[in-house]
Amino acid sequence: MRKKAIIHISDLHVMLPTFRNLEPKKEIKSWFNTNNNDLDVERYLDKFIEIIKSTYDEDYDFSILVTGDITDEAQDEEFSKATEIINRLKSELNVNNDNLLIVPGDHDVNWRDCENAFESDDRQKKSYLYKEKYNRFSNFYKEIYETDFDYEKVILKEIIIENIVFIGMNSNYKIDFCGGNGFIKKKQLIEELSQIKEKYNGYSKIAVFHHNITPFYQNNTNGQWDKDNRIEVLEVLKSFQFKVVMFGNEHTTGSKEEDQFYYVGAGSLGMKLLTDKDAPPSFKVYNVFEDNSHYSLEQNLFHLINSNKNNSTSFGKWGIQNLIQLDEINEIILIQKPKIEATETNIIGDKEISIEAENSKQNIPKKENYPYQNYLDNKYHHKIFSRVKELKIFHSGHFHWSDNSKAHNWIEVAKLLNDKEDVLLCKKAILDIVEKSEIEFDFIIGLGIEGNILATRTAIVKNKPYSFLPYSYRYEDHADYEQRLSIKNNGFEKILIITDVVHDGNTIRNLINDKEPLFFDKSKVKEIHVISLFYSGKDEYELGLINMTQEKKEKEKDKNNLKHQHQPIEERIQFYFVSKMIVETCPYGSDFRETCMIVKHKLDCVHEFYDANK
Amino acid sequence: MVISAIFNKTTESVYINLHAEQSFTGSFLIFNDDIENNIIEGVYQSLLKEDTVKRINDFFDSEKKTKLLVLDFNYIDDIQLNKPDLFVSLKEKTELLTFININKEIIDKVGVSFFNSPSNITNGNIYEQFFLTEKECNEIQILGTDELFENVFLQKLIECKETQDSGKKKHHSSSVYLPVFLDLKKMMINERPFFIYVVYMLAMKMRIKWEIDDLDEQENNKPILFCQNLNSSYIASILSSFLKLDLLSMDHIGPINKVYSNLKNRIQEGLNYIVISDLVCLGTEVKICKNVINYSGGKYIGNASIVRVETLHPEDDYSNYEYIFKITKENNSEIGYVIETALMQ
Repeated sequence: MRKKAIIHISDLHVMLPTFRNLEPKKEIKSWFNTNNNDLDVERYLDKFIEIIKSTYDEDYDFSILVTGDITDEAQDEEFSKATEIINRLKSELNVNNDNLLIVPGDHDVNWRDCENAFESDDRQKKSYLYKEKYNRFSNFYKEIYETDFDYEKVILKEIIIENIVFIGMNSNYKIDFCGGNGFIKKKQLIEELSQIKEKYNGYSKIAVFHHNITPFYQNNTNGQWDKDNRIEVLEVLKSFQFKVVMFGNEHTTGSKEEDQFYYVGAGSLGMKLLTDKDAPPSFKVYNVFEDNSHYSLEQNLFHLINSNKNNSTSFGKWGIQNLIQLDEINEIILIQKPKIEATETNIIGDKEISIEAENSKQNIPKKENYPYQNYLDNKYHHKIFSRVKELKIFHSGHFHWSDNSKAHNWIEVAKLLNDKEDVLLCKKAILDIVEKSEIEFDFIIGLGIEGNILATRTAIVKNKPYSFLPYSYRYEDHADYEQRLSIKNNGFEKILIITDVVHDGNTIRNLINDKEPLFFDKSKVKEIHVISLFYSGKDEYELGLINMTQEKKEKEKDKNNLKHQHQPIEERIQFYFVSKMIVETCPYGSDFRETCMIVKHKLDCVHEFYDANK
Repeated sequence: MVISAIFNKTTESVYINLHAEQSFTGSFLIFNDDIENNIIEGVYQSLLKEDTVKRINDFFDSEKKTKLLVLDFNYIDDIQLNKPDLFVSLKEKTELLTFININKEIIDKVGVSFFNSPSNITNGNIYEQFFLTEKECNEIQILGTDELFENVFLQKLIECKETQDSGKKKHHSSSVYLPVFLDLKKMMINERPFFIYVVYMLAMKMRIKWEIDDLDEQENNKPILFCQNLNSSYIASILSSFLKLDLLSMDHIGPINKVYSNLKNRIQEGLNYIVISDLVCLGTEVKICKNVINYSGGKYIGNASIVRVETLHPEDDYSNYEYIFKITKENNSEIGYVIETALMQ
């Protein structure tokens, strides 16, 4: 059976050897330039093809991903050279258009064409809306694919390799002659993905675009992507069961996994290593791998190494890098297969083997009548999300709720609960979940000040006993009387907890296990339903996922995440939410005061929601 | 649920405040799934609607038949009723149904004007008492609703009383000792419908005190309800619905304030703020809130609380406040509220 290898190259930056005034550039920053007399260009390409062929034998079928910035200034000569390069790769590596995926980068947008169109149209519309910016890329695209480039679409092309579909997207919506950040129109993305959803049902999906939606080099949380749009796009992708995003733009390679979602950057194939701030040219190759436990892409990173030896080329040699040493991941797991267990039933004389899936053993409560399997179907989500954007209450920075609970974002829910109409909207949103999910409960608890405000309407309308408590990590900031429920559990079996944000469910479990163990005793309370206005975690949402199950504990232990090992198993909780906004958690552990530069050297403001001195 | 039902055991009577019930319906019970329409009626509605009367009817289905049911129409100017027999149905749930503070037009609309008890008392266009009977009812004593409410509140407040052990006596925000603690949270949790009525009463008092009806939303005159702990946020959340006012919650003037000083002030310059409290003892927390508001450019215009302890003689007290119940020298013998200092111990 033939093996598959996906070659990921990016940021070739094929450039002119001269400036616009035809003065020669002192230094041509890319190994790819349009000077036909520069023999290094061909040699560079030769060596690239050579390393591929020597590493991957004839049993391999190749596919190629080109994630943008193919040219440096989107000039015709640059595209012409790029066409030659791509055609040569296709020919040498036996790749046809069905296995070639090209997406444009911001450097493939012609800034002068964009500006000219904007000015000649008397600036009638937004500068980034002029299709002229893509004219030259369009010509290149047609030359390669013999099909038109549709500048109005988000999804440009899909390529299929076994059970994986790579979906190429255009992230240049807001690029104009002044540059800009990656941006994809959310509504359009949803529409286009919905159209192909059925077609790719069962496939592992990988989104491919140019702009880095997470940084590996830049010191921010948004990469080179519009801050708000980034969250929207990631949410949409996850809701359509994408597992991976692959991109270029940053000339530093990188890869990471966060809660089973992968971010992979290929670095730059073309840009030279000129200063100590530059990264060496690089590219990646992914091999499809499958065994009994999982289906994945094995990642291989190639760097250009210049040994300075007198018998080597001016650019050095390609070599495979040790990913672990470079803090990258070896493997992108697309499908984790369920473990199967064989059980024997004893029959005298014969043995019978029966197999049952492990999942059926778990006691995670499943709610049949949960209407918002996809929260994007919830009209309250859309309205509240837009209010969050209008009020600018999704903050980036450093936020600490405890030594073990830290994040780089904060949703300022208290500000959303200022305007009386917003307050009512949010209260109605909570009640809507209760009613549409037909949640039955005997008692309601409002958690925190915001949870208390949100819960009043539900408590009144449903006419159920109600109390309120502080967040479990803020007990010490509250007077004694505030820490009490002021009512005993004399028969409440089903409890509804309403709060503003749930991230990993820890605050809820602390409430149940540490703060009110008597009230929530398992002999009394059978079901716990938690409704939050926002879910800020990254887990692909499944009902009951953020319960503390034995499986979750073991998974976390395997990842060396010991944060929750002390927690008892808790499987009574059913989580619901109105809206989802992912909050990036801080990667530092409880030793952050020593390991996090920002905290240690006070490099930036750290907002503490607790008294760290206590 | 009926929030304003006050039972008087002595006279075997029940009193219901219809404006409170209509405000409750209009603020909480109207079903509205339109996400763009987030406007409610609050306490500003003076039209009694059918679903409110129906709710009261349903309430009495599960209650024992009383001798006297009094419906107070104060603040109700008109009635919208497709089924006038709802009042007939109510009449059957009590031995005697009585309306108080009802205008003659409503009597006609309800269709009960033919009842002509000689004990009815009119005052211009208003019936101060209207008995739905032809008989004389001189032996029936209609109690003053304010006094009735105050007596019931006092009883429920006493039920919230806790004698503190010596370790807990220190007040959580003022430098004094409180041997007796009034846990209003207990009332909020265990007397839910009644407490909502208490908040309604506070809303009506605030409406008058700060002339909220006359304030123009467009000119940003309407006050914002400021709360800073769990109890006050519960009260403020309900008040916000009743009074249709914006909220501002600050989660304890404690460590979290560090965030607000860095992330733009949430207190808006020039806007009016009313601090909401459950119980005001020495006013320490109110003062802190007042200072935070004023220092941030807002305007503190007063404090609204459920209970207020009278620590100054009225002539010496210049604070601008409103309350539901004041603990005074006169009523404190039943409550036994004490503020101690080390000098006294």
